[in-house]
Amino acid sequence: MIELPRTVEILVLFLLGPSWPMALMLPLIVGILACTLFFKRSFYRRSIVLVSVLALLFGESLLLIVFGLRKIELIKSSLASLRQFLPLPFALNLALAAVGVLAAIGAAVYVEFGRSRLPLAQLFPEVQFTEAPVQLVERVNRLAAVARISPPGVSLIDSGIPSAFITRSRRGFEIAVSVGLVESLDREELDACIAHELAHLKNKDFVLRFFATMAKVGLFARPLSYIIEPAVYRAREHLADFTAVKLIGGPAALISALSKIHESQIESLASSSIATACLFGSVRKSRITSLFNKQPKLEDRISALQEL
Amino acid sequence: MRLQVLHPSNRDLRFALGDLEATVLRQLWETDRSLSVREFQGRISKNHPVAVTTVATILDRLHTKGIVSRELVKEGGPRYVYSARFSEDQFKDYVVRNVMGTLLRGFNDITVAYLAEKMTDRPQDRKVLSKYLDRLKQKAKG
Repeated sequence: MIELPRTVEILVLFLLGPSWPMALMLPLIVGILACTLFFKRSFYRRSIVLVSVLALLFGESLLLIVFGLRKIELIKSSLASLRQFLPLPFALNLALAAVGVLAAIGAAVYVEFGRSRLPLAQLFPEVQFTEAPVQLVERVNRLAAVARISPPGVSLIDSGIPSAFITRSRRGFEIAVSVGLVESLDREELDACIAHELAHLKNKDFVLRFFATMAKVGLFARPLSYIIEPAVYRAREHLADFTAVKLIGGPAALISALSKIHESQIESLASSSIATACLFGSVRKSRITSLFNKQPKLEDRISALQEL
Repeated sequence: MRLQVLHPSNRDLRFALGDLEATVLRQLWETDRSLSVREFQGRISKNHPVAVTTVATILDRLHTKGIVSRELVKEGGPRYVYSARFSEDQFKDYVVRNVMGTLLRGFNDITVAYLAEKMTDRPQDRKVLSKYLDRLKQKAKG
Protein backbone atom coordinates (compact mmCIF):
# COMPACT_ATOMS: atom_id res chain seq x y z
CA MET A 1 0.00 0.00 0.00
CA ILE A 2 1.19 3.48 -0.86
CA GLU A 3 2.38 5.43 2.14
CA LEU A 4 0.72 8.83 2.13
CA PRO A 5 1.89 11.58 4.43
CA ARG A 6 -0.56 11.72 7.34
CA THR A 7 -1.70 15.31 6.63
CA VAL A 8 -2.48 14.52 2.97
CA GLU A 9 -4.35 11.43 4.05
CA ILE A 10 -6.46 13.38 6.54
CA LEU A 11 -7.18 16.05 3.93
CA VAL A 12 -8.24 13.46 1.35
CA LEU A 13 -10.45 11.69 3.85
CA PHE A 14 -12.01 14.97 4.94
CA LEU A 15 -12.93 15.84 1.37
CA LEU A 16 -14.16 12.40 0.39
CA GLY A 17 -15.78 11.43 3.63
CA PRO A 18 -16.09 7.85 4.86
CA SER A 19 -15.55 6.20 1.53
CA TRP A 20 -15.66 2.46 1.62
CA PRO A 21 -14.35 0.93 -1.62
CA MET A 22 -11.23 2.94 -2.22
CA ALA A 23 -11.44 2.09 -5.92
CA LEU A 24 -14.23 4.66 -6.11
CA MET A 25 -11.87 7.44 -5.26
CA LEU A 26 -10.05 7.23 -8.57
CA PRO A 27 -13.07 7.87 -10.87
CA LEU A 28 -14.17 10.56 -8.43
CA ILE A 29 -10.95 12.46 -8.61
CA VAL A 30 -10.68 11.93 -12.37
CA GLY A 31 -14.27 13.15 -12.81
CA ILE A 32 -13.76 16.29 -10.80
CA LEU A 33 -10.41 17.02 -12.45
CA ALA A 34 -12.02 16.53 -15.87
CA CYS A 35 -14.68 19.05 -14.93
CA THR A 36 -12.22 21.70 -13.99
CA LEU A 37 -9.69 21.04 -16.75
CA PHE A 38 -11.47 19.74 -19.85
CA PHE A 39 -15.07 20.90 -19.52
CA LYS A 40 -14.29 24.46 -18.66
CA ARG A 41 -16.74 25.79 -21.22
CA SER A 42 -18.83 22.71 -21.96
CA PHE A 43 -21.35 23.15 -19.20
CA TYR A 44 -23.49 20.29 -20.43
CA ARG A 45 -20.74 17.68 -20.09
CA ARG A 46 -19.59 19.29 -16.89
CA SER A 47 -22.98 18.94 -15.21
CA ILE A 48 -23.40 15.38 -16.48
CA VAL A 49 -20.01 14.32 -15.08
CA LEU A 50 -20.73 15.99 -11.76
CA VAL A 51 -24.12 14.32 -11.48
CA SER A 52 -22.48 10.99 -12.33
CA VAL A 53 -20.00 11.54 -9.51
CA LEU A 54 -22.87 12.19 -7.12
CA ALA A 55 -24.71 9.11 -8.42
CA LEU A 56 -21.56 7.03 -7.96
CA LEU A 57 -21.21 8.18 -4.37
CA PHE A 58 -24.87 7.60 -3.70
CA GLY A 59 -24.70 4.17 -5.31
CA GLU A 60 -21.80 3.37 -3.01
CA SER A 61 -23.95 4.28 -0.01
CA LEU A 62 -26.62 1.89 -1.26
CA LEU A 63 -24.03 -0.85 -1.80
CA LEU A 64 -22.71 -0.27 1.66
CA ILE A 65 -26.17 -0.79 3.11
CA VAL A 66 -27.00 -3.86 0.99
CA PHE A 67 -23.70 -5.62 1.61
CA GLY A 68 -23.45 -4.33 5.14
CA LEU A 69 -26.81 -5.76 6.04
CA ARG A 70 -25.92 -9.11 4.53
CA LYS A 71 -22.67 -9.11 6.43
CA ILE A 72 -20.70 -10.50 3.56
CA GLU A 73 -17.37 -11.84 4.65
CA LEU A 74 -15.66 -10.03 1.77
CA ILE A 75 -16.26 -6.70 3.40
CA LYS A 76 -14.66 -7.72 6.63
CA SER A 77 -11.54 -8.96 4.90
CA SER A 78 -11.23 -6.02 2.55
CA LEU A 79 -11.95 -3.73 5.44
CA ALA A 80 -9.08 -5.11 7.41
CA SER A 81 -6.61 -4.07 4.73
CA LEU A 82 -8.26 -0.69 4.30
CA ARG A 83 -8.65 0.07 7.94
CA GLN A 84 -5.84 2.58 7.92
CA PHE A 85 -7.74 4.66 5.36
CA LEU A 86 -11.03 4.68 7.18
CA PRO A 87 -11.56 7.62 9.47
CA LEU A 88 -14.64 6.08 11.04
CA PRO A 89 -15.49 2.54 12.14
CA PHE A 90 -17.47 0.39 9.74
CA ALA A 91 -20.65 0.40 11.82
CA LEU A 92 -20.68 4.18 11.87
CA ASN A 93 -20.11 4.28 8.09
CA LEU A 94 -23.06 1.97 7.67
CA ALA A 95 -25.23 4.03 9.99
CA LEU A 96 -24.36 7.28 8.20
CA ALA A 97 -25.12 5.74 4.82
CA ALA A 98 -28.44 4.36 6.10
CA VAL A 99 -29.50 7.68 7.66
CA GLY A 100 -28.49 9.48 4.46
CA VAL A 101 -30.46 7.19 2.17
CA LEU A 102 -33.52 7.42 4.43
CA ALA A 103 -33.21 11.21 4.53
CA ALA A 104 -32.91 11.31 0.73
CA ILE A 105 -36.06 9.22 0.36
CA GLY A 106 -37.84 11.47 2.86
CA ALA A 107 -36.69 14.61 1.08
CA ALA A 108 -37.76 13.19 -2.28
CA VAL A 109 -41.24 12.42 -0.94
CA TYR A 110 -41.45 15.88 0.64
CA VAL A 111 -40.45 17.67 -2.56
CA GLU A 112 -42.60 15.52 -4.84
CA PHE A 113 -45.77 15.37 -2.76
CA GLY A 114 -45.43 18.31 -0.39
CA ARG A 115 -43.47 21.30 -1.53
CA SER A 116 -44.17 21.17 -5.26
CA ARG A 117 -47.93 20.94 -4.62
CA LEU A 118 -48.06 24.24 -2.76
CA PRO A 119 -49.33 27.40 -4.42
CA LEU A 120 -46.68 29.95 -5.38
CA ALA A 121 -47.59 32.38 -2.59
CA GLN A 122 -46.95 29.69 0.00
CA LEU A 123 -43.69 28.57 -1.59
CA PHE A 124 -42.31 32.12 -1.37
CA PRO A 125 -44.17 33.83 1.48
CA GLU A 126 -41.80 36.81 1.42
CA VAL A 127 -42.65 37.60 -2.22
CA GLN A 128 -45.85 39.34 -3.32
CA PHE A 129 -47.39 37.92 -6.49
CA THR A 130 -50.09 39.40 -8.67
CA GLU A 131 -51.76 38.24 -11.84
CA ALA A 132 -49.66 38.69 -14.97
CA PRO A 133 -51.07 40.87 -17.76
CA VAL A 134 -52.13 39.18 -21.00
CA GLN A 135 -49.20 40.55 -23.04
CA LEU A 136 -46.69 38.97 -20.70
CA VAL A 137 -48.48 35.61 -20.81
CA GLU A 138 -48.57 35.77 -24.62
CA ARG A 139 -44.88 36.58 -24.72
CA VAL A 140 -44.05 33.56 -22.54
CA ASN A 141 -46.32 31.35 -24.66
CA ARG A 142 -44.67 32.52 -27.86
CA LEU A 143 -41.17 31.78 -26.53
CA ALA A 144 -42.34 28.41 -25.17
CA ALA A 145 -43.58 27.56 -28.66
CA VAL A 146 -40.15 28.45 -30.09
CA ALA A 147 -38.55 26.20 -27.45
CA ARG A 148 -41.12 23.46 -28.20
CA ILE A 149 -42.17 23.04 -24.58
CA SER A 150 -45.61 23.34 -23.05
CA PRO A 151 -45.97 26.89 -21.71
CA PRO A 152 -45.64 27.32 -17.92
CA GLY A 153 -47.95 29.47 -15.82
CA VAL A 154 -47.01 33.13 -15.55
CA SER A 155 -47.01 35.32 -12.44
CA LEU A 156 -45.97 38.90 -11.85
CA ILE A 157 -43.80 39.66 -8.81
CA ASP A 158 -44.91 42.90 -7.15
CA SER A 159 -41.42 44.33 -6.74
CA GLY A 160 -39.35 46.97 -8.45
CA ILE A 161 -36.14 44.95 -8.19
CA PRO A 162 -35.42 43.30 -11.56
CA SER A 163 -35.67 39.54 -11.13
CA ALA A 164 -37.21 36.39 -12.60
CA PHE A 165 -37.36 32.73 -11.73
CA ILE A 166 -39.09 29.50 -12.67
CA THR A 167 -40.32 26.93 -10.19
CA ARG A 168 -42.65 24.03 -9.67
CA SER A 169 -45.87 24.74 -7.83
CA ARG A 170 -49.40 23.45 -7.58
CA ARG A 171 -50.18 24.85 -11.02
CA GLY A 172 -47.25 22.93 -12.52
CA PHE A 173 -44.25 24.87 -13.75
CA GLU A 174 -44.57 28.55 -13.17
CA ILE A 175 -42.44 31.44 -14.32
CA ALA A 176 -42.42 34.60 -12.21
CA VAL A 177 -41.19 37.92 -13.53
CA SER A 178 -40.89 41.08 -11.45
CA VAL A 179 -42.45 44.40 -12.45
CA GLY A 180 -38.96 45.90 -12.13
CA LEU A 181 -37.65 43.55 -14.82
CA VAL A 182 -40.45 44.29 -17.27
CA GLU A 183 -40.34 48.06 -16.81
CA SER A 184 -36.59 48.44 -17.06
CA LEU A 185 -35.58 46.10 -19.89
CA ASP A 186 -36.42 46.52 -23.55
CA ARG A 187 -38.36 43.93 -25.53
CA GLU A 188 -35.38 41.84 -26.68
CA GLU A 189 -33.71 41.87 -23.28
CA LEU A 190 -36.90 40.76 -21.55
CA ASP A 191 -37.31 37.97 -24.12
CA ALA A 192 -33.75 36.88 -23.36
CA CYS A 193 -34.48 36.67 -19.62
CA ILE A 194 -37.70 34.73 -20.16
CA ALA A 195 -35.89 32.44 -22.63
CA HIS A 196 -33.28 31.72 -19.95
CA GLU A 197 -35.97 30.63 -17.49
CA LEU A 198 -37.73 28.54 -20.16
CA ALA A 199 -34.38 26.96 -21.03
CA HIS A 200 -34.28 25.46 -17.53
CA LEU A 201 -37.50 23.69 -18.45
CA LYS A 202 -36.31 22.64 -21.90
CA ASN A 203 -33.03 21.29 -20.50
CA LYS A 204 -34.92 19.24 -17.89
CA ASP A 205 -33.03 21.01 -15.12
CA PHE A 206 -35.72 20.30 -12.59
CA VAL A 207 -35.16 16.55 -12.93
CA LEU A 208 -31.38 16.94 -12.75
CA ARG A 209 -31.50 19.34 -9.80
CA PHE A 210 -33.91 17.00 -8.05
CA PHE A 211 -31.47 14.09 -8.31
CA ALA A 212 -28.48 16.26 -7.41
CA THR A 213 -30.21 17.55 -4.29
CA MET A 214 -31.43 14.10 -3.27
CA ALA A 215 -27.89 12.75 -3.67
CA LYS A 216 -26.55 15.62 -1.58
CA VAL A 217 -29.06 14.89 1.18
CA GLY A 218 -28.16 11.20 1.00
CA LEU A 219 -24.47 12.02 1.18
CA PHE A 220 -24.78 14.46 4.05
CA ALA A 221 -21.77 12.85 5.74
CA ARG A 222 -19.56 13.56 2.73
CA PRO A 223 -18.25 17.11 2.58
CA LEU A 224 -17.49 16.72 -1.13
CA SER A 225 -21.19 16.54 -2.00
CA TYR A 226 -21.72 20.05 -0.64
CA ILE A 227 -19.38 21.33 -3.32
CA ILE A 228 -20.54 19.09 -6.18
CA GLU A 229 -24.26 19.86 -5.89
CA PRO A 230 -23.95 23.65 -6.22
CA ALA A 231 -21.45 23.10 -9.05
CA VAL A 232 -24.16 21.16 -10.90
CA TYR A 233 -26.58 24.06 -10.39
CA ARG A 234 -24.05 26.58 -11.65
CA ALA A 235 -23.25 24.53 -14.74
CA ARG A 236 -26.96 24.22 -15.58
CA GLU A 237 -27.32 27.97 -15.15
CA HIS A 238 -24.64 28.58 -17.78
CA LEU A 239 -26.23 25.93 -19.98
CA ALA A 240 -29.61 27.70 -19.71
CA ASP A 241 -27.87 30.89 -20.92
CA PHE A 242 -26.53 29.06 -23.99
CA THR A 243 -29.92 27.48 -24.72
CA ALA A 244 -31.57 30.90 -24.39
CA VAL A 245 -29.10 32.31 -26.90
CA LYS A 246 -30.12 29.59 -29.37
CA LEU A 247 -33.82 30.32 -28.75
CA ILE A 248 -33.58 34.06 -29.32
CA GLY A 249 -30.91 33.83 -32.02
CA GLY A 250 -27.89 35.61 -30.57
CA PRO A 251 -26.18 36.48 -27.30
CA ALA A 252 -26.39 40.29 -27.58
CA ALA A 253 -29.75 40.79 -25.84
CA LEU A 254 -28.93 38.41 -22.98
CA ILE A 255 -25.50 39.99 -22.45
CA SER A 256 -27.01 43.45 -22.32
CA ALA A 257 -29.80 42.34 -19.96
CA LEU A 258 -27.35 40.65 -17.58
CA SER A 259 -24.99 43.63 -17.73
CA LYS A 260 -27.80 46.01 -16.80
CA ILE A 261 -28.86 43.81 -13.90
CA HIS A 262 -25.25 43.48 -12.80
CA GLU A 263 -24.86 47.26 -12.90
CA SER A 264 -27.98 47.80 -10.84
CA GLN A 265 -26.75 45.33 -8.19
CA ILE A 266 -23.37 47.03 -7.91
CA GLU A 267 -24.78 50.57 -7.98
CA SER A 268 -27.38 49.84 -5.37
CA LEU A 269 -24.79 48.18 -3.14
CA ALA A 270 -22.49 51.17 -3.52
CA SER A 271 -25.27 53.60 -2.82
CA SER A 272 -26.34 52.07 0.44
CA SER A 273 -25.24 49.54 2.98
CA ILE A 274 -28.41 47.52 2.58
CA ALA A 275 -27.74 44.55 0.36
CA THR A 276 -30.45 43.77 -2.15
CA ALA A 277 -31.41 40.15 -2.39
CA CYS A 278 -31.88 39.38 -6.02
CA LEU A 279 -33.03 36.21 -7.64
CA PHE A 280 -30.37 36.55 -10.31
CA GLY A 281 -27.72 35.75 -7.75
CA SER A 282 -25.66 38.15 -5.77
CA VAL A 283 -22.48 40.09 -6.30
CA ARG A 284 -19.31 40.39 -4.28
CA LYS A 285 -18.80 36.93 -2.96
CA SER A 286 -15.42 35.54 -2.10
CA ARG A 287 -13.98 32.53 -3.90
CA ILE A 288 -14.75 30.22 -1.00
CA THR A 289 -18.41 31.18 -0.62
CA SER A 290 -18.93 31.04 -4.39
CA LEU A 291 -17.98 27.35 -4.22
CA PHE A 292 -21.21 26.78 -2.31
CA ASN A 293 -23.24 29.23 -4.36
CA LYS A 294 -25.89 27.71 -6.60
CA GLN A 295 -25.94 30.77 -8.83
CA PRO A 296 -22.83 31.59 -10.85
CA LYS A 297 -21.60 35.17 -10.62
CA LEU A 298 -23.18 37.47 -13.19
CA GLU A 299 -19.71 38.48 -14.42
CA ASP A 300 -18.95 34.83 -15.14
CA ARG A 301 -22.19 34.39 -17.04
CA ILE A 302 -21.54 37.52 -19.08
CA SER A 303 -17.96 36.55 -19.92
CA ALA A 304 -19.00 33.00 -20.89
CA LEU A 305 -21.59 34.48 -23.28
CA GLN A 306 -19.10 36.93 -24.71
CA GLU A 307 -16.83 34.05 -25.66
CA LEU A 308 -19.52 32.61 -27.94
CA MET B 1 -40.72 56.31 6.81
CA ARG B 2 -37.60 54.42 7.83
CA LEU B 3 -34.12 55.90 7.75
CA GLN B 4 -31.73 53.06 8.35
CA VAL B 5 -28.44 54.63 7.46
CA LEU B 6 -27.18 58.12 8.13
CA HIS B 7 -24.11 59.58 6.47
CA PRO B 8 -23.02 62.39 8.82
CA SER B 9 -20.18 63.54 6.52
CA ASN B 10 -22.60 64.32 3.65
CA ARG B 11 -24.52 67.55 3.33
CA ASP B 12 -28.13 68.05 2.36
CA LEU B 13 -30.35 65.10 1.41
CA ARG B 14 -27.36 62.81 1.14
CA PHE B 15 -27.08 63.04 4.89
CA ALA B 16 -29.98 60.64 5.14
CA LEU B 17 -30.02 59.01 1.71
CA GLY B 18 -27.55 57.43 -0.71
CA ASP B 19 -26.30 59.56 -3.62
CA LEU B 20 -28.61 57.99 -6.19
CA GLU B 21 -31.53 57.83 -3.78
CA ALA B 22 -31.23 61.58 -3.26
CA THR B 23 -30.95 62.23 -7.00
CA VAL B 24 -34.00 60.08 -7.73
CA LEU B 25 -36.09 61.63 -4.97
CA ARG B 26 -35.21 65.14 -6.14
CA GLN B 27 -36.78 64.38 -9.54
CA LEU B 28 -40.10 63.82 -7.82
CA TRP B 29 -39.92 67.14 -5.99
CA GLU B 30 -39.01 69.00 -9.17
CA THR B 31 -42.23 67.89 -10.82
CA ASP B 32 -45.75 67.81 -9.44
CA ARG B 33 -46.86 64.53 -10.99
CA SER B 34 -45.98 60.86 -10.57
CA LEU B 35 -43.24 59.38 -12.74
CA SER B 36 -42.47 55.98 -14.24
CA VAL B 37 -39.04 54.38 -13.89
CA ARG B 38 -38.17 55.21 -17.50
CA GLU B 39 -39.14 58.85 -16.98
CA PHE B 40 -36.88 58.97 -13.94
CA GLN B 41 -34.03 57.50 -15.92
CA GLY B 42 -34.59 59.97 -18.78
CA ARG B 43 -34.37 62.90 -16.39
CA ILE B 44 -31.38 61.64 -14.41
CA SER B 45 -29.26 60.43 -17.32
CA LYS B 46 -29.07 63.97 -18.74
CA ASN B 47 -26.36 64.62 -16.16
CA HIS B 48 -25.49 61.17 -14.87
CA PRO B 49 -25.62 58.05 -17.07
CA VAL B 50 -27.45 55.31 -15.19
CA ALA B 51 -29.17 52.06 -16.24
CA VAL B 52 -32.96 51.79 -15.94
CA THR B 53 -32.48 48.65 -13.84
CA THR B 54 -30.49 50.69 -11.33
CA VAL B 55 -33.19 53.36 -11.12
CA ALA B 56 -35.83 50.63 -10.67
CA THR B 57 -33.81 49.08 -7.81
CA ILE B 58 -33.26 52.44 -6.10
CA LEU B 59 -36.95 53.34 -6.38
CA ASP B 60 -37.94 49.97 -4.94
CA ARG B 61 -35.73 50.70 -1.97
CA LEU B 62 -37.20 54.18 -1.47
CA HIS B 63 -40.60 52.50 -1.54
CA THR B 64 -39.53 49.92 1.05
CA LYS B 65 -38.30 52.75 3.25
CA GLY B 66 -41.71 54.37 2.92
CA ILE B 67 -40.40 57.56 1.36
CA VAL B 68 -42.29 57.20 -1.95
CA SER B 69 -45.58 55.55 -2.83
CA ARG B 70 -46.26 53.66 -6.05
CA GLU B 71 -49.07 52.33 -8.13
CA LEU B 72 -48.95 49.33 -10.44
CA VAL B 73 -50.18 50.07 -13.97
CA LYS B 74 -50.83 46.92 -15.98
CA GLU B 75 -52.01 48.39 -19.29
CA GLY B 76 -49.33 48.70 -21.96
CA GLY B 77 -46.75 46.57 -20.14
CA PRO B 78 -46.72 46.40 -16.34
CA ARG B 79 -44.89 49.29 -14.66
CA TYR B 80 -44.97 51.36 -11.51
CA VAL B 81 -45.66 55.06 -11.30
CA TYR B 82 -44.03 56.59 -8.25
CA SER B 83 -45.09 59.68 -6.35
CA ALA B 84 -43.62 61.47 -3.36
CA ARG B 85 -45.24 60.90 0.01
CA PHE B 86 -43.58 63.94 1.55
CA SER B 87 -42.61 67.36 0.34
CA GLU B 88 -38.95 68.33 0.53
CA ASP B 89 -39.60 70.42 3.67
CA GLN B 90 -41.55 67.64 5.35
CA PHE B 91 -38.73 65.23 4.60
CA LYS B 92 -36.03 67.52 6.00
CA ASP B 93 -38.19 68.19 9.02
CA TYR B 94 -38.52 64.45 9.57
CA VAL B 95 -34.77 63.87 9.23
CA VAL B 96 -33.93 66.60 11.75
CA ARG B 97 -36.55 65.41 14.22
CA ASN B 98 -35.36 61.84 13.82
CA VAL B 99 -31.70 62.73 14.42
CA MET B 100 -32.33 65.21 17.24
CA GLY B 101 -34.79 62.86 18.88
CA THR B 102 -32.18 60.13 18.90
CA LEU B 103 -29.58 62.48 20.35
CA LEU B 104 -31.95 63.77 23.02
CA ARG B 105 -32.88 60.26 24.04
CA GLY B 106 -29.28 59.14 24.21
CA PHE B 107 -27.43 62.24 25.48
CA ASN B 108 -30.11 64.56 26.79
CA ASP B 109 -28.05 67.03 28.84
CA ILE B 110 -25.18 67.35 26.42
CA THR B 111 -27.48 67.85 23.45
CA VAL B 112 -29.53 70.56 25.14
CA ALA B 113 -26.44 72.37 26.40
CA TYR B 114 -24.82 72.22 22.97
CA LEU B 115 -27.93 73.56 21.23
CA ALA B 116 -28.31 76.42 23.69
CA GLU B 117 -24.64 77.28 23.28
CA LYS B 118 -24.79 77.16 19.47
CA MET B 119 -27.97 79.18 19.28
CA THR B 120 -26.51 82.16 21.09
CA ASP B 121 -23.78 82.45 18.43
CA ARG B 122 -25.76 83.80 15.48
CA PRO B 123 -28.20 86.73 15.67
CA GLN B 124 -30.95 85.00 13.63
CA ASP B 125 -30.74 81.94 15.89
CA ARG B 126 -30.93 84.12 18.97
CA LYS B 127 -34.23 85.49 17.67
CA VAL B 128 -35.67 81.99 17.34
CA LEU B 129 -34.37 81.06 20.76
CA SER B 130 -35.93 84.08 22.46
CA LYS B 131 -39.24 83.33 20.72
CA TYR B 132 -39.20 79.83 22.19
CA LEU B 133 -38.15 81.19 25.59
CA ASP B 134 -41.15 83.56 25.56
CA ARG B 135 -43.41 80.67 24.76
CA LEU B 136 -41.84 78.68 27.60
CA LYS B 137 -42.42 81.54 30.07
CA GLN B 138 -46.06 81.84 29.01
CA LYS B 139 -46.51 78.12 29.45
CA ALA B 140 -45.04 78.36 32.96
CA LYS B 141 -47.49 81.16 33.84
CA GLY B 142 -50.55 79.40 32.40
